[in-house]
Amino acid sequence: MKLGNLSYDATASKLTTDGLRLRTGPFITSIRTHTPELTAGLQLLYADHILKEDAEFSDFHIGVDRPRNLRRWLHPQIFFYFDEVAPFNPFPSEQALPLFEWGLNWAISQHAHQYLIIHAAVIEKDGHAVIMPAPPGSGKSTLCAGLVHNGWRLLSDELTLLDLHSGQAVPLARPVGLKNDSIEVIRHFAPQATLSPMTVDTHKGAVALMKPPAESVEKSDQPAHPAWVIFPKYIAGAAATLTPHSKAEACIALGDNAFNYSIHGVNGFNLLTNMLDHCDCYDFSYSNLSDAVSIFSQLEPPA
Amino acid sequence: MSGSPPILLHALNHPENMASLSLSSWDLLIRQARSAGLLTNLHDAIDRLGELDSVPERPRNHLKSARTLTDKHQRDVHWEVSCILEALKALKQPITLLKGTAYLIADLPVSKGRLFSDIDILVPKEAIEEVEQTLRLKGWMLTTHDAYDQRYYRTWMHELPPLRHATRNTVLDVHHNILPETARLHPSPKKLLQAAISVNEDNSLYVLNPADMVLHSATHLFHDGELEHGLRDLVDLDGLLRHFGGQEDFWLGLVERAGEMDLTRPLYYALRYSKKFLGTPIPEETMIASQTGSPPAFMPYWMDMLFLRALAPDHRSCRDWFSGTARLLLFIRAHFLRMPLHLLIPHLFHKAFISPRSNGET
Amino acid sequence: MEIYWRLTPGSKLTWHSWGSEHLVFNDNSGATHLLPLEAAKALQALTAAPQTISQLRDTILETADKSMPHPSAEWLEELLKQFQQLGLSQLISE
Repeated sequence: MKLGNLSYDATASKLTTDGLRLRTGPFITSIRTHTPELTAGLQLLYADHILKEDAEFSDFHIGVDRPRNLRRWLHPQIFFYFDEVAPFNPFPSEQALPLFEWGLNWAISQHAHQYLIIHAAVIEKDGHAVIMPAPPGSGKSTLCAGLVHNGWRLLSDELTLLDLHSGQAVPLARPVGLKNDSIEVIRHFAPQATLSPMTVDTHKGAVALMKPPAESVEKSDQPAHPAWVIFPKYIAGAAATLTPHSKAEACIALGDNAFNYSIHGVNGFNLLTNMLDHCDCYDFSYSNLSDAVSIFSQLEPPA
Repeated sequence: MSGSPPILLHALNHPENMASLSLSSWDLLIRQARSAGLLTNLHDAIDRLGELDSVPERPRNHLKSARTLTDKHQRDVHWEVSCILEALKALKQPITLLKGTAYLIADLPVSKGRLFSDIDILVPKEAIEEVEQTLRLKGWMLTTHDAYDQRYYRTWMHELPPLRHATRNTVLDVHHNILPETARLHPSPKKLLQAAISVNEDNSLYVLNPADMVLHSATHLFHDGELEHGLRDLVDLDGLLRHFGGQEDFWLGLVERAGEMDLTRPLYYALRYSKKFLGTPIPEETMIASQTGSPPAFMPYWMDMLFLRALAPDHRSCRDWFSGTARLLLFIRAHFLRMPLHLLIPHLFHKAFISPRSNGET
Repeated sequence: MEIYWRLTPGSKLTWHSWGSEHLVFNDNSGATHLLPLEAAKALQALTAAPQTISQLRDTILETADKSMPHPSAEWLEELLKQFQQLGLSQLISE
């Protein structure tokens, strides 16, 4: 059964008692909250995700709630809880949904060391995956959001999980985070996409989350072999261009962008070098999503 | 506490039962183990029995993930110790490793599951200035410049303020004793250093001898520490006792040494709680002999109330209404044992009102 | 007295190359380094046996592309000091 089959009240009931359990890629996440923003947000964005009602074991126990002590009366603030411990400072309660997403990413990157975890988007078509590492501001999430509504399957917009044995990218198929101008760009470019209400944060600006396409969620148990590593960069006015990028430099960049490269030691090094043996690497500059979609559709897997 | 002991304790004492655990028990066990810093220990206990593959896949991933993290940590510690030795080479001053670092370098079974944040070394008090100067020249920096903190450490405590390496970001604690000058108990650092055992070919690196290692662990846990990872430290202690327990004359030597080093009280607690919680096989004569270190008549009962809670995993599933208070009382006790009242009160006043600190710094 | 450089004892290096780009992973420090050809050759020579600067220079010249400029002794000295900073090499006098 999918979360979309549950009523709001039934969802809220699970969230406020022993937890709503969802399959999120390879993990089962148990979620608890009393906040209406997150309850509604989960209902909207995770409608296609499978409910694991009978799951006895959850990989992550996440909570988003007001503090249990006297501070709950002072400001409408909420904490992110990982197994009932709040590792971070509080956030305004209207940011419950982005906080949940960001927090779950944190939980995965800190605890799932059965994978090499890279801060990169990863999408797939015809059995071949593109990994797109990029610092904030490079437009990777916008690009990712545009592509997954034009022929590509979403594995993740933030966390590329590489299986240490098979070298394959393992999907998460969770909501895509969009910021500021990207929100309008995607509304126009992919009007069929479902977007959460926008929240405004003093640091990041406006944030909205895009529901992952149903097909991406359905196939979230299907990993994919990487065939390309592409470093995107949004440059206003630039023509969409792919320029070859050195494999050795790509290896260093992937290691630098990974959360746990150093933890895996030589196994991480071997994973990346073997992967790159079978990948083509590019820099990609663009200013227009349609052009980007066109260029990506012409990508040929390496020989 | 809710009547039955935490599932984590059961798992540590009976890893052979883990293969048949239900998934919902695994759910609780993984969380308790993680919060106690014992997830890798749990992995190893099951792996030693060759039963890791019988653990269901999801919990098994978490166990293996913890082991991966610990492996990395241990590689880092080996490297860090070699960097410290290289930095201090010219001084020709032997370094004695303490605590987790010592267990790892001496390749003791108890070291396998450990994650610890700082590296602790012991040098003679006369050498400490030279050691500090050399370390600071080679890239280590003071982590606090606060004049009060400096005085706290240098005048009253048994160590320099923590030093952090500029590029590697590792923290080094340089001790000249295992308890502060101001503490109630006075173990002799000279005796510790004299009895230390060399662990490398050129005799530049040492660890404490077995009895001293146990006594230091006991002292740290029951007299010096704040019990944040009490259960994990107790598991270490149990590991040391089991490993050395097979050596001839170990138990007799342990009690004698405790007397010699003014550490009979920590030894009493160590043996008592290690046996109570983890079933450490301690000879009856040793338990009796350790009674010389016991506190006045009614105290063991009262201390049981506090330690039983404080040594349980610090997880919501293991707390009762008294747990928070118990931890607080033991926290106060630890400070009280470190400094006499006439120093402690102004110190706590200073900490509370004059230099508010962020969490995590001592 | 000859001054020799050697690979830090206990080092485990893993190499991977694409064309003239060489990556080396150092197990001890957990660091990954991208080295140009001459630097890679110098490190590989050190791995085989301790070397003086002039021995290293000879090794590199043997296999170097004759059209490329040859590494000077000063350049090599600087390289070895960088290796030392990275924990890859040590100075020994014999």
